[in-house]
Amino acid sequence: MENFLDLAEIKYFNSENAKIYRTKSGFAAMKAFMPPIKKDDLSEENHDNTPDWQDLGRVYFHRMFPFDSPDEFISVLDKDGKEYGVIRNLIDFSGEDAEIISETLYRKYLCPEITKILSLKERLGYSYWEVETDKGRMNFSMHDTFRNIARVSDTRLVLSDVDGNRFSVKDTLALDRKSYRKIELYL
Amino acid sequence: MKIKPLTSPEQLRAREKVKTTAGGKAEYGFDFNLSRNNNNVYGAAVISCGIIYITIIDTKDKTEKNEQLVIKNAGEFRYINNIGCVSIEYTINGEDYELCRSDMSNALAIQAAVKKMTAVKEGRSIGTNDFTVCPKCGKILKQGSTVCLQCLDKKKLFMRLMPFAKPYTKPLVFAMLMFILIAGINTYLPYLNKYLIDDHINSESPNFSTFWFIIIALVSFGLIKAISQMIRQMIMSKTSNSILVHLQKMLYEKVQQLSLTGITRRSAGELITRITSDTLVLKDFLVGLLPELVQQLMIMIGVTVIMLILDWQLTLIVMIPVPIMFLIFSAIRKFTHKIFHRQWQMQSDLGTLLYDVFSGMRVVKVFGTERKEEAKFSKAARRVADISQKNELTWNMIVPFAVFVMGIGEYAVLYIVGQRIIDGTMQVGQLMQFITYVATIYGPIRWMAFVPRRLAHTATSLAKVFEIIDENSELTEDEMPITDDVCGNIEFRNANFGYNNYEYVLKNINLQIKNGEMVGLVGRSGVGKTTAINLMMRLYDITTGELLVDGTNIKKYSQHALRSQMGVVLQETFLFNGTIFKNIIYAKPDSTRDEVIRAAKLANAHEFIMKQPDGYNTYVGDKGHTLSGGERQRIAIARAILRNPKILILDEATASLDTETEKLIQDSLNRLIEGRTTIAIAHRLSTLRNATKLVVFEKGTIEEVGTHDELMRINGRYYKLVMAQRQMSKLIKTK
Repeated sequence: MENFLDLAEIKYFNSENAKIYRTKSGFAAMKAFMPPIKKDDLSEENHDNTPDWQDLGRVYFHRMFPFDSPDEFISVLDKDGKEYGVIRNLIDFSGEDAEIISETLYRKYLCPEITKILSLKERLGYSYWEVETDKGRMNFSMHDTFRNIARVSDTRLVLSDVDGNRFSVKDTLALDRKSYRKIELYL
Repeated sequence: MKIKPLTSPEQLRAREKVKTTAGGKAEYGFDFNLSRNNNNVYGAAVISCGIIYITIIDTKDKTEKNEQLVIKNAGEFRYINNIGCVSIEYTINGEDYELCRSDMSNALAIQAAVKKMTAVKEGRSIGTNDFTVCPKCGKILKQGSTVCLQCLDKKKLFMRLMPFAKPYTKPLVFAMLMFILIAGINTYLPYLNKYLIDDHINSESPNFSTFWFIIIALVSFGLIKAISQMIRQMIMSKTSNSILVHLQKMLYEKVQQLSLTGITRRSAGELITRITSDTLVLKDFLVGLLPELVQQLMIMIGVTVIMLILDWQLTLIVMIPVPIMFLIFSAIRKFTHKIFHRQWQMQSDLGTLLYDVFSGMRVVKVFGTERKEEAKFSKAARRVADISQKNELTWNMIVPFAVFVMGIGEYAVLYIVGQRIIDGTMQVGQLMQFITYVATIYGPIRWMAFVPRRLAHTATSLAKVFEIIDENSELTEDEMPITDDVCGNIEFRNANFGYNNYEYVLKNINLQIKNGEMVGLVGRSGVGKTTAINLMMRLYDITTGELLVDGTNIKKYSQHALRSQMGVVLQETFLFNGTIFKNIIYAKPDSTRDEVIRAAKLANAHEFIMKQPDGYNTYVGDKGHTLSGGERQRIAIARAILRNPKILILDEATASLDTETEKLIQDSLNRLIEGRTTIAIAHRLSTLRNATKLVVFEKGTIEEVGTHDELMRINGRYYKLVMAQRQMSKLIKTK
């Protein structure tokens, strides 16, 4: 018997059927070998469905599992958020293509990584942090600290500050003892 | 606590620089702090005379860049919300460009900038600053919020609580007097004891007449203390509960006043906590912590003064360990807070887990995952047990030691005074008195060490409560609101609306609905139909453009009066806990039974109500009899009809009914429609066959307007929709 799930199709892009390039102003764009895209849902339905190389123009990327596997399952979308297809794994692309994808993702997801906690003070419901990150020293404050720390795994944290900035702690156990002692309360 | 320096010198330099390049004049300015590649830079931008100027200072490679762009030359300005950062993009000749980029701290300013640039492009005025800035740190505040999260003045916060105690000044002052009286007796008793020991028991010439007198005095002081404690407790519990009710009532009223935006921003659970637990914390502060604090301080000061008078040298010796003890106790407090906070969090996690599983029991059973949930639960329970075991162990290791440290002062007194007694310069009674005082003074100190934590707890609740109280309802009532009856003419004029600042859900809506029309709103889900209805009910205000009711701006009407003339049936029908009768009459509490029954008949609900054993008295809602979706919807329709509204709004109101019942209700509604305005959303297009006007929405704009026949003729989106539905039902009916 046919599996239910076979009914839904996922279009996977790789270096064989897709080529990533930069637009004039440096955004990621894509050419892909795929059936023609229906731009307007009002147009007649019985059009040619044979796949062909076509220029999709600028594309947007969105991680499906940003925490679990940031480099796998990356959705490729158009301006309105309609999905063209999926990049199953970044290693399906190489050279400049992979570079453009990583760079675009890097530009979209800003999440400095905390390497050291210099000071952490909690006062009247707010906590004030001074940290060393891969992007330099930073200060931020959090409200309702416990709830705004997402425990992605047993050792990985994602913190959201009062403005909505994100900071991550890749491995709490890898922090130095002093930093760990400061953050221990929220684990 | 030092908060990060407000504005860095580099940032100020960028601001200055961009202002000079713009010629010193600026209509709007904002900061940003990221380069194209998400590196930290200092950037500032200003809009001046239709041009946007930008300066970027990169301190790493010591470069400075100046750019400018004529706003009219660009196609569209867009606010791009990334994850953890935002940017502005614009288009020239179909090509996207990035203007600037920032982390989230400038997100609100950048949203406003995009709005202003769009205004400049469209030749509109740039407008005034439509956001408020924190006077302390210069940060833009979130909409609807009047307090800056970082610069909140905590002392002021506590002062704001005082007005709530004001109506109860008299009982509170009286209670305070009781506190003072008790404190006074407590400080006086050791003196009596000393007198008793030194002058009578341990004296060579005991005086029996005063001996009796002292015993009686001791007894009566004890009695007075007991009575005043009793009175104090009585006053306090009465006052505290009144204050609690007062606070809860005020908060509840405020929540109801807030616009839907303010309410939907928070979960129902959160609002419930604020009304129930947070107010409780405030009550505890006002009538528990505060008077206690006063009493303890008074005892401390009083005893210290007496001790100083008795023997200032000895007092100073006794006082030496006080600061040390205070430090030790703060340290202990911090430590225990840490460990118990963790335990508390774990316990609350466990609670959440249980709640989750029990409310989703059906899903658990259907998927057969009981074993898995069991394992999850026992793991969490184990974790709580482990941590509380550890905590109790540490606690029991610390406390005896701490108690010992606390005793050091007393031992010192014992040593010094003991020596003096042996010398004969002091008597046993004096020793007793001094030791009692020392013990008395250490009590408040011990207690005070825990005050900061309780204050912190209170401040958190205070901030939460006042956040709601301070929130301005985004829907303002006109000073002289119109309360007249309306005819039901509704007109959208160039209306734009977005739930947030940067993205419109409805764009440039122009629509006229006349009194007596039945208008059907058609389109795919998520194109803005329900939003349009929400605007007509004024649950939200449109962002730009106008919405007129009978030719007058909707904002001029009294919200209550306006809504009282509207009847609404929503897709998700909500029934309150209560009888069917109570649920129908909810819309118009002064209706007679006769009217309710008629409404139920019109809504085709009467029949099924009569099948219930208890008729109209059948209990429905959360705990009551379960009704099917269609039955609930019919009750909701009856509710709307009962109101005899001028404007009837049906949002997928008959979606859960079978076609036949729907037709019956439609027919009865048709009788009602005359002279009224009806606006209906329906996915099943046959529902709208009686509509005088159909409005087709697509991606937030109106694509087509016309009658069924007109729209079929132009062969557009409506035609497509009808065809698709016909194909589905294989039922081709021509009207």
